[in-house]
Amino acid sequence: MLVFGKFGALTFGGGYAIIALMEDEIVHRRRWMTTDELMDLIAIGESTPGPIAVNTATFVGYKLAGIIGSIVSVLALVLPAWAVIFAISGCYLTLRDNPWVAAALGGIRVAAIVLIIQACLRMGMKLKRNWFNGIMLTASFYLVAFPSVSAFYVIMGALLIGLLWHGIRPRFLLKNQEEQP
Amino acid sequence: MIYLTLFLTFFKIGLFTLGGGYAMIPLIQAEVIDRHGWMTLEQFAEFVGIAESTPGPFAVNISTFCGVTTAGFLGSLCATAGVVLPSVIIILLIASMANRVLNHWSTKSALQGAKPAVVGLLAVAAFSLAGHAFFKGEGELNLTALLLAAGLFTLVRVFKLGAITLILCGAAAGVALQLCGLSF
Repeated sequence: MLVFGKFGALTFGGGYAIIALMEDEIVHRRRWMTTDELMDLIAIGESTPGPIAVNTATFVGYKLAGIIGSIVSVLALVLPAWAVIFAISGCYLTLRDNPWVAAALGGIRVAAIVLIIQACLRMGMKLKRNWFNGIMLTASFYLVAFPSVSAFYVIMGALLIGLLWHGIRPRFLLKNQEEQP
Repeated sequence: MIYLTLFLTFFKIGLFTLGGGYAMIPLIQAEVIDRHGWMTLEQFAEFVGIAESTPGPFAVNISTFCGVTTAGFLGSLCATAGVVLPSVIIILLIASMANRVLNHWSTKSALQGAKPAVVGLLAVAAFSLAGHAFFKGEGELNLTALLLAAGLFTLVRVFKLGAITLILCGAAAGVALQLCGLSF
């Protein structure tokens, strides 16, 4: 289970970078499971709440060694990340006032914005182009940007609307069709 | 009780993050910046860059950082535990019947509603960060920052730079611009 420590320590950039490493280690080197099995776990990690890496690590740990396994793998994944940030946060606060560090941070800030825009475009491209997605996207943008509704309510609302529109509505229509003839 | 607040805030963030990583940004902005004021928007943008260039999941990096800066060692433990626990609890609850739960029509349809909303929320976050970086105070355009962003964006699109390379380029450009006497 120490293997997850390696994932935590070596994966710069989070999320999907970690998953690529996981595949290499778990499937090819240790042969703990097949690619297909791991893919199933990753898909589950993507559709449950929380960071994907943490979800997948929990699940892989559980499959391999039960509840203890999942706890060990999550701890191993989280500890290095936690320790590094804990160590640098002190320096960050003192160094921030240095003009050269401040200049570099200014550049980093701009780069981070580019990354976020990039992530947003990537996620947007993955959506199917239809009315429902278009309206949901615009509505959530508008609600948070202007009346500044909290992002939490928007997500809760979106889950509910999804349930009604994609879940209840087709079933309701189907029932009506059956009753008509 | 700052420890409890940190824990609960990050628990909430962990619970409502659908799609991992960057989907968390709007939620962090709402709670950490707007509601509790634990960070400024500027620090947050810097930290996204720092989190990208340090090991580990982004969520863990940022929760640790907020915890340390607001309440020290214990604070970082509470915040990190908060962000990780919802994942662990949910996965363990559904582990034995995960496929049945996730393939159920109600789960699928609810997630279909959340997907476009998450993109919309992330767009708001991108806009507010960009607006803050590209305009100084009185709506005066910060041309240096805007050009740098355009340059970096082209680099990413054309050369498919990785995130860390991009962050390093940004840092180098920041120092270089400072050398030329252009601050931003």
